[in-house]
Amino acid sequence: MAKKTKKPQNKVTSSSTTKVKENKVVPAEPKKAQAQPLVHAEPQRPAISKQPSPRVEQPGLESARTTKYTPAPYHPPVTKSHPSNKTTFVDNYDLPTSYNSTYLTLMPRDPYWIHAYWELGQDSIDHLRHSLGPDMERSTYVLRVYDVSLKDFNGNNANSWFDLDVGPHANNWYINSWKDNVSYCAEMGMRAPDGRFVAATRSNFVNTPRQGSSGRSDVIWMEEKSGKYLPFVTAPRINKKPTSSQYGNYSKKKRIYLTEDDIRVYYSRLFPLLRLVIAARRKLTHEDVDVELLGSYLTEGGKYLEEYIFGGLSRSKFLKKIILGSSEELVIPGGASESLKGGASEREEKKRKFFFEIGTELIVYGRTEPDAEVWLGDKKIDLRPDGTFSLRFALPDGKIPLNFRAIAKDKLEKRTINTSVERSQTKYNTQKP
Amino acid sequence: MHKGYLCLVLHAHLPYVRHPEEEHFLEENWFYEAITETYIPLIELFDRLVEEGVDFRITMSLTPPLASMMQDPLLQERYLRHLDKLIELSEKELERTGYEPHYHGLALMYNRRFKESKDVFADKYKKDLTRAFKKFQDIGVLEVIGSCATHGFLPNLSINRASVKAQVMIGVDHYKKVFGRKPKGFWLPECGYYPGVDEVLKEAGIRYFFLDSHGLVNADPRPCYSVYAPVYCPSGVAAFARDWESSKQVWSSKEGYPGDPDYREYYRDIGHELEYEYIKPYIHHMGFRINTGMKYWRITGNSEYKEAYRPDWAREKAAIHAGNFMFNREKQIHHLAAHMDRRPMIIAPYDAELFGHWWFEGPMWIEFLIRKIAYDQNTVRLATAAEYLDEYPTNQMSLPSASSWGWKGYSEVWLEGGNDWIYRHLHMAARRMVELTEKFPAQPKKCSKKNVVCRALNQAARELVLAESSDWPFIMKTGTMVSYAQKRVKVHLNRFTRIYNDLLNGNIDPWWLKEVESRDNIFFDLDCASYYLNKTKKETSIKNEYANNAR
Repeated sequence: MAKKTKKPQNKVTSSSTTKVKENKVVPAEPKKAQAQPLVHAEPQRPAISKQPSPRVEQPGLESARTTKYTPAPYHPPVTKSHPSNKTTFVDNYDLPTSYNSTYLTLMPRDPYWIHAYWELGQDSIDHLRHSLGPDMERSTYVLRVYDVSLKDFNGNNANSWFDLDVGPHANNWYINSWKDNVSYCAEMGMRAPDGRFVAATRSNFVNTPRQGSSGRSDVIWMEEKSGKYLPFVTAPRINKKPTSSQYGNYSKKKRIYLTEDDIRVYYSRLFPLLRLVIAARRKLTHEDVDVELLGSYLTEGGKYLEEYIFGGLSRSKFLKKIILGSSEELVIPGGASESLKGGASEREEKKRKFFFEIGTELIVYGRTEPDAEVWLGDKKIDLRPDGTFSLRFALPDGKIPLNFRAIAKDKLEKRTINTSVERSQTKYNTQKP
Repeated sequence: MHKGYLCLVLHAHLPYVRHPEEEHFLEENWFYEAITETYIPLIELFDRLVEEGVDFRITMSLTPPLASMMQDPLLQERYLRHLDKLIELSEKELERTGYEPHYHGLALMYNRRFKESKDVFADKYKKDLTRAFKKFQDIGVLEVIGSCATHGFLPNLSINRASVKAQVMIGVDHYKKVFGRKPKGFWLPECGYYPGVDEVLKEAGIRYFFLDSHGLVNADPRPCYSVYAPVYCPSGVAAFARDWESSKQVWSSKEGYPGDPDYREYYRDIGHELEYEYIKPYIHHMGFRINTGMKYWRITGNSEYKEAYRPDWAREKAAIHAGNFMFNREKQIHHLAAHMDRRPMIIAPYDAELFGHWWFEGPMWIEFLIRKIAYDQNTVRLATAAEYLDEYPTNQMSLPSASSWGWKGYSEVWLEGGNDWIYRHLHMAARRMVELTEKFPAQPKKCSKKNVVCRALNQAARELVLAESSDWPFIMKTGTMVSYAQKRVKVHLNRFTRIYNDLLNGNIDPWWLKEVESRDNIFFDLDCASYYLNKTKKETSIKNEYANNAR
């Protein structure tokens, strides 16, 4: 019987990792991912040495900082009790190897690594046994890691997920991820030979830091006035060229003050986990309203942005919550059922697997004398040997001008064809039954 | 007319090491050495500059464990004992080196320094060095910023918001007791930032904090002035970021100043060099050799061969290096000012213990730098972050990226194979602490010394914050004194767990509690458990009660 009782002290994590979905390969674990023995033997006191402490080769940040804790021989544990003590006072014993409870915790280490530690209590083991039945013996302990960026995770709607076979003895793991700035959640459980996964516990949500600078260069100012912080943006200049100082001199421009709602909407796009909160709040409030307020001002290129705003909350509290991306307190019991997707104008229906999307492309083709030259604007177009040509464009919403020019080989004759193609605003609608 | 600012930040911190149960405790020497080599030299140089009317601004953090140790009577007495021993040793050395002119001069230097230290410590500041820093703050040349209760690395504690809040709020309240006003700025331990921690700082009334460079460079949206001006987090707290170039000049192993051959060698100490019987009374009482603080050699070169230290050469080098640092900042500011519509600010944060303890000539270098900036040029001016915000109340708003100033820039130093085992216990203890305040909600608020439950709750919170100190995982990672760090984590967590169990079983041993209180006496005058109370929950329960009564 694969009954799991007490975990051995020296745990070795299996180095075999498997991958079940989306052909994503899970990297091998680093050596240091091995579970740390929870019992630390009392080190031996080194022999008295006449030699100075080992020389650190070069002074550097870490070595300089280490010298705060001057290297010196180990100091033996307290054996002699203070005269005032009535009994010997010892509390340097080992920490418990088990709390007999079930938990799974993720901690981001850097943009590409997350540390997970867990324990499965007896209740959870019983639960797994009950759910898996006779398959339990042939099932493997699995850490299932979900990418839940911009999702209101409900157990089924992760962007992607992968399994780590952690074996029955490991109690912690270093998880390598391929992307930075991603939100993760994980579940600890068992996978039966038929692929069925039974989770015993779900972790907190974490967000890995960004590696490299942000692509967003919006400038929102904030002014402190007697303890109050007033955010504003400056109105873009319509008919003037931008000054040499791209950002500066807000003082002479027209200010558009922003409300906390605006900031909330704006920041909900920056930080993947904030979606979670937004979605959870959304359930509590009235119908969503499209807001164009920020989009037209915040992006310098005039790119149209659309966002959703949710009112009806205590604003200050919401703002506080919204920024608390990696806090455990953001775990929403049971998961909410709705979510939003970022980007331009797209909305997704959660829970159901049904999806629907379209794309548009534009193909332009023509022909002329094989030895002539054809130009589109200032770009020369390569002709096939028979004088035909074709061009393929992505076709987003908007108007694309197409001004072609053909020049005969002897340069004596020139012809132009001017036209344009327009895709009008696409509307996305979801009808709920 | 000045074109920009330089903000020198010295982060002074040591873990709380105080062992009344032992007459001599080796790790307490960290504190004694730092006093003699760093804190007193800094105080002396500030005093000199103030007396001479030199205009300067320095920002410093004095973490709660360090300030608490400075104010602790037991450690004050022990430091005096330590200093008296050093003076005795240096007198003996005067005699021993009588016929060795190179070393005799150095013995004289140490003898004079130790005696001066005693004057400063015992007479001028009445054994409490926080008075000195408070004095400079009140004069206006020094800005002391707050820091976490026990230097907890907040990203690794963020799983439990109550822990983060307690670390910040205890730090702020302790600061108020020591310095008599609220802190304006805050030092995030190890510059450990994660989005959301600024909200906690906001609640604590903090106006600004410091980040490592990439925390701001990778902020979203991208800050338009890079690290040369602050941004406001959405909470309204300002984030200033370290300038990598100026840091590197001081820290770097290749280009850094402290590695100069004329500077004093850290690793050659007479505690290890002199004849055993002679030095025995001044090393560890159990007989193993330790550093005494008297070092007679200079770095010389990259080999074991060392020549005698020449204070006049080293002083000359410190002046040259200070001039070089200032020159580079001038050039940097000239360049930046041409591209910005406001004056740039260069943030140069360092561990305070680098100056004096590791880099013996560091305090001298700071003094030269301050004097040169005051008299030799007009481009750079020393300023504090708060002054900058007064001059420029409008800044860009952006959300910084999670980061730290540790090796590799994130959490790896405090979360790796050698120390990750502590977190399941720390997080469990934090959950249990919150559980305790929920089970005994009335106690933490109106605490009396006679109420044993209340005392136990507060002591549980003290044990938890002591276990959370980032120094323990740091030491486990760097590999010196590992067993001491492991012991400290285990001891505090075991004491916590015992209080937790005793409280739930209604079975507290008053003798044991008293003993633990006397050993781990940090924040003895704060109701530490109250910081773990979930106020919102409390409010709702009061509301519900009110509603029930109304019915």
